[in-house]
Amino acid sequence: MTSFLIRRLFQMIVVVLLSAIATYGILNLAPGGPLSFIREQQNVGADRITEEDIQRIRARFEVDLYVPYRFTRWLIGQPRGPIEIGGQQFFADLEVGCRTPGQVRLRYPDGRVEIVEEGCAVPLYLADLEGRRTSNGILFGDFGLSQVMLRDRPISQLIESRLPYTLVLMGVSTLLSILIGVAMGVYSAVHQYSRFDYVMTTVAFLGASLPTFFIGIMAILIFAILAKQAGLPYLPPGNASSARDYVVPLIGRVEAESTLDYVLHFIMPCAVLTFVNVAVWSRFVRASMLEVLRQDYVRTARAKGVRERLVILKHSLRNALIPFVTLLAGVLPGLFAGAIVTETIFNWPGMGRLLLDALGRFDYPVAMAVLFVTIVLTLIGYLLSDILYTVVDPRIKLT
Amino acid sequence: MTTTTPALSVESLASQRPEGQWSVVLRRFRRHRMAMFSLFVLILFLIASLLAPYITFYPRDRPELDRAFLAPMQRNEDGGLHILGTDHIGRDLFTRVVYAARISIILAVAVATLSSLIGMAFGLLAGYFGGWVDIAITRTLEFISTFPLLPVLLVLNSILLQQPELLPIPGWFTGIMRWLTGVPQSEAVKLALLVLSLGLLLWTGTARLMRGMVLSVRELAYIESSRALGASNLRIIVRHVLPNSLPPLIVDYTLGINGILVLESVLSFLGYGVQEPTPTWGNILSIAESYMFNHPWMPLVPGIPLVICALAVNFIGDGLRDALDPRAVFGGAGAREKKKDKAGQQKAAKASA
Repeated sequence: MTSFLIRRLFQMIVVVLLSAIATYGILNLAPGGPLSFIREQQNVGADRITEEDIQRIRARFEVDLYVPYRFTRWLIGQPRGPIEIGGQQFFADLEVGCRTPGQVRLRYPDGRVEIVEEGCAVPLYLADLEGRRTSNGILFGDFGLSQVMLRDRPISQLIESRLPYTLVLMGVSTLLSILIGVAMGVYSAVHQYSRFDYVMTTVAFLGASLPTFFIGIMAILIFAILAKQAGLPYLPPGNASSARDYVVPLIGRVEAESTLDYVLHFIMPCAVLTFVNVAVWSRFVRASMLEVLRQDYVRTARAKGVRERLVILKHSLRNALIPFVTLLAGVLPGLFAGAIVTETIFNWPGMGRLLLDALGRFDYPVAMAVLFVTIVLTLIGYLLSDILYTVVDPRIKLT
Repeated sequence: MTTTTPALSVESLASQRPEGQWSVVLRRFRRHRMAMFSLFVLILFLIASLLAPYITFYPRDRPELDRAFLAPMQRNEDGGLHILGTDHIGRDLFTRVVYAARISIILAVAVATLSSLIGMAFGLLAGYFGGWVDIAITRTLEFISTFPLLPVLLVLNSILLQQPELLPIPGWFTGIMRWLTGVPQSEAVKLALLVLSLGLLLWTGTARLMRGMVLSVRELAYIESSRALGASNLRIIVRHVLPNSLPPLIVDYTLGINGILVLESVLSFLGYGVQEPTPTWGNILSIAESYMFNHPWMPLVPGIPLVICALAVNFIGDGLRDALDPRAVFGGAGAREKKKDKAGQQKAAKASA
């Protein structure tokens, strides 16, 4: 077990590194960095931006660094300057970037002249990095600064403001769906071919094959729009709380940002997420339960006269839930990353929306931070589910 | 006359070839009523969408601002009927939904086909040759599966939508997409881009399934005997390994179409899928969502066909699964039990809901 854990942790670090390189690489291909807006402005010529301005901006967003150095500074906050050993500096003149790109005038045969960036006019050396502002590296919990959404303020502030909403939404809905999903799956497996079983399998089939956002839209349509039009008690269609007081039939006046207000806003996104999860998980539990109920030891238990309740809860359910553990591996990253689609439909200010907004507004450091943490949590989830496996099924040996 | 009948039947039985595998499958599939009905509905959708220019009476993209938000079955000022109403800039929704049917369905089928082919190729290589090929491919699969699917797709598509030159598209591929979907060249390029980026990302599940199948088939006695007879690798793969590992892949493919149909609509809904003015059910729904408070009927117009289609494909997948399973005995109580169990085994690919 210990050697397994050590090996797995080592593998995990390798995969985390690879994933970090991959996400960083992908997002570095992305268009629309801070400089693209500046270039546009310069081209328009509204107010001229000097060479120094550009140099300063390039330095602030680290665009003047070569990608590998930018990457390590993002990941672990190094290098920050020349390496000092015993008062002596090493690698001070290592070229790590380019302060001003070289410009080449291209003259076309038809007389047009175009200036193309090529090569490097003023290189940037490792010694120049000293004193430059840098993050401590995402591996050590410093996410760096947001470029667009919160200008120059730490990404951790953004995440702090969004994470509670996602934690509540995902936590409650996951808990509810485990409870309901397992209960429904077990009941309909025990009462196979009963009316409840037919209804449940049909609804679960629907829930698992329909797009989540369609279920969400239908929920808004029925419980927010149509219910309001019909004068029935209705649920607020979006956001986590409302800005003004409002009146709901039967419930009465709801004060803005009161507990009741938050609860009312919470019901619909939570219900939709729960419904979708229950649809998937109850089918899973049902199938696994049916398999176990056919086993010999269940028949033996019954033959020995063990009470039916005990047969189902102790002999069957515990074994039926073993494969269920793998599904739980996905819960951990979900708690952090949120549900992009559900959060978008209900305008829920959580992490899923944060990622979507960051992408839409070209705030790539934010997107990178969210993606990176999600990937790390996914890996931890895999590891935890492997360990949980040995807990619920002692026959499985991790080697 | 009566005496000749038994003799004749014995003779005909003797001369008949045993029923082939695929005709058994076909016979079984035809017994699955929901699947047959779904197939019928799906074919109806496809025919309607192929006939789009003949059964719709309005231009697909031209805005008519003074006709915006007409409710279903309302007439415009010229007396023209809008069966399903009009959208926010006055385009006829029936027209757009019918055109969208072709694009949405073709897109899903194209992505599923592409990713299945890639996945099958890699799975076959990994399973058949084993060794370092297997290690390299399975490690890559594991690595790819650590990425959260929907966020990565969003990132990739947002990048590709703005810098299409990052993913070079062969001209013939755009040509095929254009021919299949019937959209103008400029839109076909974007569709091809989406198909390629999705296809290149979604093949891992198929590869894993194919690898498992090949691993089990490879060890069977008939492979050994055909190798003993001097058959080449290629012959063994094409004649024996492929046909025998195909059944679960066909089911996977069908259910994959459903998954991608939904995924494409989700991407379009979030703004990173097919872009306006090319209509798909997802982006019509996305527009409808923003106006649903004043026009509650709007999301139903693209939503209902999307739901019907998703369900139909799922039912067909279910039917195929039953038909292709050699252990299922039809007609008995066992068949019923078998069928019920499978609903649970099906893993729904809900990418972070």
